[in-house]
Amino acid sequence: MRKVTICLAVVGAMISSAAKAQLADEKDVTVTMDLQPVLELEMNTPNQINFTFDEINEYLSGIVQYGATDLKVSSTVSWDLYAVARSSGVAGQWDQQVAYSTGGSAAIPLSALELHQRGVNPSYVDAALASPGVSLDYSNPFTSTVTTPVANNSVFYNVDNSNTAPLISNKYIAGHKGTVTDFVLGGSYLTAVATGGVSESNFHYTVDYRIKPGLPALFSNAQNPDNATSDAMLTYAQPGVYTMYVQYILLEDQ
Amino acid sequence: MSTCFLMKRFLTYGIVLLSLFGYNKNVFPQLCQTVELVDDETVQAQVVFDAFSKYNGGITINNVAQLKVKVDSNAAEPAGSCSWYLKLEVDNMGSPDGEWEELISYSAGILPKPTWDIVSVRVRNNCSTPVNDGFVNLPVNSTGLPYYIIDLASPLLRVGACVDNVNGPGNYIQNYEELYFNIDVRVKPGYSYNPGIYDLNLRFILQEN
Repeated sequence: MRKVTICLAVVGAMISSAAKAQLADEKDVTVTMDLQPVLELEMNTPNQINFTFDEINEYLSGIVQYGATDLKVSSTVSWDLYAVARSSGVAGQWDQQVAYSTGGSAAIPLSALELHQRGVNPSYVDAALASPGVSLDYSNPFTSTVTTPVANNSVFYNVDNSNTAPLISNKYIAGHKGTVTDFVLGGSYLTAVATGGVSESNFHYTVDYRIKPGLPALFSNAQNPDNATSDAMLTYAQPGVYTMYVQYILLEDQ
Repeated sequence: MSTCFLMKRFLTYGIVLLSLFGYNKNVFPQLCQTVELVDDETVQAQVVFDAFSKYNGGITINNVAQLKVKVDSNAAEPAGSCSWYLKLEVDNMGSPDGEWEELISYSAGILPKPTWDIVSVRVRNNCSTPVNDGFVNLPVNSTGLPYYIIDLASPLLRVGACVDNVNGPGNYIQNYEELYFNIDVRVKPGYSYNPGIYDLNLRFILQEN
């Protein structure tokens, strides 16, 4: 009798647990998302910016083109922005189009061009640690010192005239070499809010240009991208017409 | 027979009877005879973010899928005992909780993989019977799931009531207003995720209460 009772209990438990199963049905919606990287640099600038030095005071104090270039960034990925000076002739030097004289040297360094960006590079912590005391962006104001050259604003260039990204001790406009903290998070000038008391956000930069030949015209503010060696000429610049160009490059942080 | 022997017998038969009838009232096979989502093939939806405006505004796919509910009561059951609920689960095919499954990465960048909460889902019908028939953001991970579209174990509300949580037997043809659901999906990724192709599976489950 006891065995029968145990059997009944087991069967009962099985029936009871089977009865707990509930009818169900399901339908799946699989969402496939294709996140394509989008980097947009909107630039507002004249095709050509002219600096004409025809007065002594212009050689001494230089010529500044304020707000000549306006840069607006939209990016879906973390990004860096840099400027690189280039020419098509001798690497590291302006291209001479016309010579007005036979005297002097035509080897004007690309770094004779100075840039000033409105707003500080928002992210170069690692670069600053690796290169203490070095100017890592173009936010320093143009100096008016006549006697002592100050090289904070010399434009970056590559010795092979390429547009390779600057190294850790070189200047970026925003972000920097390195992927730990030296980048600006994705976003857009359309939605970003300015912070830190500046009128532009981290996605909007206005660039001023200056060329200051000095007397004699040696371009003493010109500095090599290594931030240590002066590019100032040893012989005065040959009078003439010279050209070079600046590329602004927006790239995913690296 | 002693009193002790009688008590033992009483307890033994009591346990047997309880296991058979008393513990679970669902002693009959089911309360509902049919609980079915008709046309339940998997739907594949693709969203391509290739312009900044899409990242900013997101992409919405309306009517990405339909849920056609068909629930029949078991004739042997007393009236009012068959009801159902509808819920949403998320399946990321074994990826870390809260992340999409990565199929391809376009970049070696340090940005993280997208998370579930960039997806919003809207389930709606003509009578607005879902608890919330607006867009609802997915939770950041599985602790916020399941999301109940029609509440679990809520009191029986028969079709025809046209109110929240209608959960009685019926079918989507005769009770179209309440048992035919449209699904809209919106994805708004923002700018914080690594570029690539990702998958996420939204699983809608219809189950008997």
